[in-house]
Amino acid sequence: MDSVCADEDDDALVAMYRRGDTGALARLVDRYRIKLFAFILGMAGRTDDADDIFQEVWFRAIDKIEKYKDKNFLAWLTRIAHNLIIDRWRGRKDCVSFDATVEEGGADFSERLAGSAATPDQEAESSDDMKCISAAVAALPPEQREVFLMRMKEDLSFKEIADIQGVSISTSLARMQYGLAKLRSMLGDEHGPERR
Amino acid sequence: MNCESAQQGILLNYTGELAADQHLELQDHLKGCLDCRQYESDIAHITSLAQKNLPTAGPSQETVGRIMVAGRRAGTGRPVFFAFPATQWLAAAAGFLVLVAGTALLVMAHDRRDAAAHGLRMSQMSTIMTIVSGEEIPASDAALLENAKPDARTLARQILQVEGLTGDELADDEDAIPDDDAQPRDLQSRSTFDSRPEECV
Repeated sequence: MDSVCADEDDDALVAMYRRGDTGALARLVDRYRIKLFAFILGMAGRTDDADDIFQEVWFRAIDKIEKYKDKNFLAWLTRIAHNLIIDRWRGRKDCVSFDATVEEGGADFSERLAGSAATPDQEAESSDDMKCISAAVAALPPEQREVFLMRMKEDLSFKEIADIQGVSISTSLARMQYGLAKLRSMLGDEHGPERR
Repeated sequence: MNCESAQQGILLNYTGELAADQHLELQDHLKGCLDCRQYESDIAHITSLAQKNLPTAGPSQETVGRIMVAGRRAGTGRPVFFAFPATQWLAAAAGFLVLVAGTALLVMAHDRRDAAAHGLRMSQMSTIMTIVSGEEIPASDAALLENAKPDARTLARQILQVEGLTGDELADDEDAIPDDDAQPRDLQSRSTFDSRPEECV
């Protein structure tokens, strides 16, 4: 999907949509639907929640499209998603801190992932590796999980991640390092690389 | 470069955010550090595992459909100022100026016509006053009066009514006002109009 209309960069599509070309909006949605949704799903845990957030992200993006000045459209969308996810967690009665770990009572993504509405095709596709990595990522503290997903699923730079999270590059790098260390530990030898 | 800096460098190297001089330092460090080489290998493996196996499902078609509906609505409601590029905006401004100038010219022409019509009525009235007062009507005024007989008759009737006469004498007589202005009319008496049928053929 990423190769769709690759000849038109995001800024050109945004400009076209500002002039009333809704086809340009369709191409932008199509271009980023997988990456953005994967990030949101990884953070929200449930498909229906992810759908709601994904939709709200685009509603806000459409509403604020005249103010878009960033260099990276996906990073801009991700910042909107980041804010919406935090708002959602704060609004829940049983909410936990964004920084809470599973051990501290944080959201257990793996449990919620198991309860999410997966299609038969998706279930068929799911492998041990997928379950294992999904559960391991879900077990990360949200702030580390967010950095990990932004890097792995959206290919954002650490500078962009730091801007979205409102922290320094050093902090975003440290969060990635902590997250990777935990994943290395959780994935263990079975899914880990062969030791030299 | 210590191991912590080297491991951060490994992460930054993936995103292309590592400066050239730091890249050289990292390579030097990796040559002599087994732990950091292992770290780099582990990161590569986890990255591959995550990119291959993390869920890649997209949003539902209904969600995408609702986004597009919202996008179309917002697009139609967007102010024209934002919808037009600069050239189209300039063309629209030029068109607006032409429209304003054209309207102004039409209004001015209409005013001129009004002024001309007003001047004509004033001349006709002056002529009628001349007739009523019994003075001689200049040939040019007679022609003017001839071109606007109905108005002249109306005015004459109003003047007569003001002076206590009915003006009925002028009611249906198309030739009530003489074409021949060569002879001075006897308008000293108000019966002038009574005798007009004999005067005018």
